Amino acid sequence: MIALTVDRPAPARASPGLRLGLIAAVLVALLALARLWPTLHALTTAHGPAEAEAARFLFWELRLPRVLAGLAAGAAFGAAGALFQAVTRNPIAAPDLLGVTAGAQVGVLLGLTVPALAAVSGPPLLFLCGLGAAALALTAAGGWRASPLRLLLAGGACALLLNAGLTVALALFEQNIAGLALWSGGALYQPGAAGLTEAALWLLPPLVALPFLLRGLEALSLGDDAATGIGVAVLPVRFGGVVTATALTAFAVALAGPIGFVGLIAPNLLRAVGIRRFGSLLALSALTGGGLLIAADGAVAALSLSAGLSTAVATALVGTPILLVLVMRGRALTPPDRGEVAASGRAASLAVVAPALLVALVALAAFGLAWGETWLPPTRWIAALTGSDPEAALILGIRAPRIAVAVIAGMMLAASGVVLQSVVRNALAGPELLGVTQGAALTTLAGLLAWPLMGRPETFALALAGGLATLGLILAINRRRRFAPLPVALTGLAFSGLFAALTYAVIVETSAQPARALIWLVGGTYGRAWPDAVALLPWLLVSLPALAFLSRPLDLLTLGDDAAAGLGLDVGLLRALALGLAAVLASAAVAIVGPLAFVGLLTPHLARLVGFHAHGDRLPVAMGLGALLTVAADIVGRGALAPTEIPAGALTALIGAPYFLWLMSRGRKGAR
Amino acid sequence: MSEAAILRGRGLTVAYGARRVLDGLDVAIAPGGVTALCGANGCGKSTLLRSLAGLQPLQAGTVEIDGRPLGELKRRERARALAMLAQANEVPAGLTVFELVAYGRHAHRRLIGGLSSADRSAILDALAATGLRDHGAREVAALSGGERQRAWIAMALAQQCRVLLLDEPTTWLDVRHQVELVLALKNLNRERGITIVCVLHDLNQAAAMADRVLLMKAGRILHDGPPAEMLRPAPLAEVYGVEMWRLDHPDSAAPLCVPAFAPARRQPLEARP
Repeated sequence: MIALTVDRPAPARASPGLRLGLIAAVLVALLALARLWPTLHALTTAHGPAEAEAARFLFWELRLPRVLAGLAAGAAFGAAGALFQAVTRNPIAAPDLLGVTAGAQVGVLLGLTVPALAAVSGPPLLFLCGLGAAALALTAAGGWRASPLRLLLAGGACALLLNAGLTVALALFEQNIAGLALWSGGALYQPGAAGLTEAALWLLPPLVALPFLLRGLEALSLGDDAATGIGVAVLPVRFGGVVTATALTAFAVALAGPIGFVGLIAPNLLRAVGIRRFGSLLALSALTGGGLLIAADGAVAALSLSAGLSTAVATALVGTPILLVLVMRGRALTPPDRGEVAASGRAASLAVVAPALLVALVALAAFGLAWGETWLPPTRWIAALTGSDPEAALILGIRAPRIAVAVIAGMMLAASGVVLQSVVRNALAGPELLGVTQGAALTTLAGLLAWPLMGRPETFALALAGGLATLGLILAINRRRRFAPLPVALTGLAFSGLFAALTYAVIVETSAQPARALIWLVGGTYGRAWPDAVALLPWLLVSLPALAFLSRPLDLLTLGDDAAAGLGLDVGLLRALALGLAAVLASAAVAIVGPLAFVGLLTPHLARLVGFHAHGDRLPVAMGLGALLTVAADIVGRGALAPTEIPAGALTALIGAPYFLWLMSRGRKGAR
Repeated sequence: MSEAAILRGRGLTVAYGARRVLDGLDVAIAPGGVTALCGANGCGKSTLLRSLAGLQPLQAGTVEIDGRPLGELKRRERARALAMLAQANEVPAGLTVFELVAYGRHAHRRLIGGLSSADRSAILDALAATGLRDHGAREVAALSGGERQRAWIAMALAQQCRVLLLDEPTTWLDVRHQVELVLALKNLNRERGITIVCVLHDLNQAAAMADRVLLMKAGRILHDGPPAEMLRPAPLAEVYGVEMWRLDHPDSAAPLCVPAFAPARRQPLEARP
């Protein structure tokens, strides 16, 4: 209890936790009542046995379980978020960001597709898979003592990897698991009363474990050394915290599907209104999470929107404004230490790496041209070019432009990632995590669905509008806080979540073939032709001199705003120019290949892990790696399971994320 | 002193919300001197330094360098005129000492292209002046605290400016590195005529290094004068609210002071037999 008085000298208010708790409880009760009222009313005023039976069924079997499931799942997400944040000592940790939700989703998939696992399907399997995901992220980040930023990056890579796997599975087994596709948008499970009671049993173990962990987790906020000093067994407490939080996540995912946001928002909301004690924070997070979820569910029902607008979308819609207000008012969060992902290993030489990358890229592209259902040796390329081999010409006409598009788009996304991360000085600031990609994708997709015959110029215009608008919003919101890394990351996360959910809603709502639109969403090079490559190339060419010009100022910016300004740099102007450039690069690429994940977020780190930190070197290396990765994804996606096409976006993550995780864990051993 | 000032602040006012950190403060720094800014935590020392560097948005007041308002100077001109080292600096991973010092050339370099020979000689000169000649290829993050602080000073030297503003440069260093750094800064001041303004917590260090000490309290300069006059119990008690003893160095007669960790003692040490 000594720990409590340290961070809050002389608490002036009389236990704000209790008062707020009462208010929140009343609010949540009112919300639940409002949701239950129509059916309850019907139940009490029913005339005749038939009507009474129907009303009883409606209340006891449908509405009440739905509200309870929403409350329970929301509470579990909220509590899991608070737990993960305490364990990692990072205010933006959450089950979905650490890959645990995606892990649980894999569990659902396994339960549906592997008959042998049917016996343990449900919460236990979800729990095991979630735990596996958490273990993977933690291991790659370098264990418990990993800096919060490393942990988030590893978790993000993990989530990308698992989500990509899920998408591939969805694309491949469309018929078998159509239910999963719908469910993965997150919707309050409708198991009826029986299913709810069964799931509730799995809530007991984490609830029993929690009281034993509370004091230890609270002490963790002092730091490991201080916590050990006052007699807390840090490792067991951490371990217990992760296992408990994962169990809660698994339970919530089983009930409601992978709903993001709640775990992130609920605890941060409470911290912003001054809740500091961990016990209160945890309890109130659960309450707030439950309230948030049934409010979202109720909003969907009240606005009589179609079932296509899933709970996840509604949660994002409700949660985003709250999060944004928190960021704008600047009350949330003190930034964690700004650790680097990894100390660079040896200083690599660009003179060696650049030619090697180029050779690898050429070799890979040549292989991609030759390999496929029909093997095309280079001799037939010449024949195709001279017109004497029409079959080879036809096949090359399909393969070559895809590779060209992959090269260009990969370079653009990688360059965009490097610039964004440097300008925002946040290792998490890839175009994916800042919402730029999702914003561009949303406008493009909406345009494509509204005007199916839309031409390329319009596509570019829409993508640019979406990407730039998102970036503009993020910057406007964070202007007063001088683009501090953590609030920017939070804002970006909020937008990317919101836009991704909205895109999903648009697909479900309008498309007759959700799977096709889903594949577009993952991004890929399928069916891209020469005009696509030709349309994309000028954007890259125009931005190259700008990138070269910006690389030195970006170097200075790594020293911090004040130091850079002191050295004679116009920091504001540089930010505006570089951010605009990054947004243009990412949006143009998205217009052609869709929101290709991973390339923009992680290739900058790959370049750093390979040993380059100055932008003059890091930009070309990251771009080379981006091109290499995208081309590899294109080739594997086309050939691995032919004739079925695996979307390249899923493969960039499937190929790149494991490499990234491996490099991270290796870099740690080398560095410490 | 009023006409010859190389750096001058007039009516500097900075407020964070309702709290006034600088309250219409006037200050003039003569060329070629070493000035120490001292005062209790939160008295506005660092804010004053940032204001003089042109990094702090001012509610009112102007800063002039060589008689020209700082706001009129282009950023690169400003960087050639003065350099500022913040208290805590981020060090990007992988950055070498040479690269860090080369950053200091930003305001001198051509917009496109590599380092000119003038850039190179300025960098090597700055490395030599800070005793880092053999450490150019090492990573900044791998240096000891004292070496790292010297690397940052080398970066500022590479800017080839005439005014150097330092915010608590010795705070994280052990005694030996503190002494080395103070001597190195004195040297730079003597040999190159660089004007130094330095926030310091250690009053004895201030006395050893500076020819002028400014004692600040609540956003104003309360006392201003040579160290021998400033390191007296009366002004120090006024500024810090703590009783201090004054001693004189037995050999050099340089002023020294220590806090009296005892209840008020009327007689300063020097007055006793």
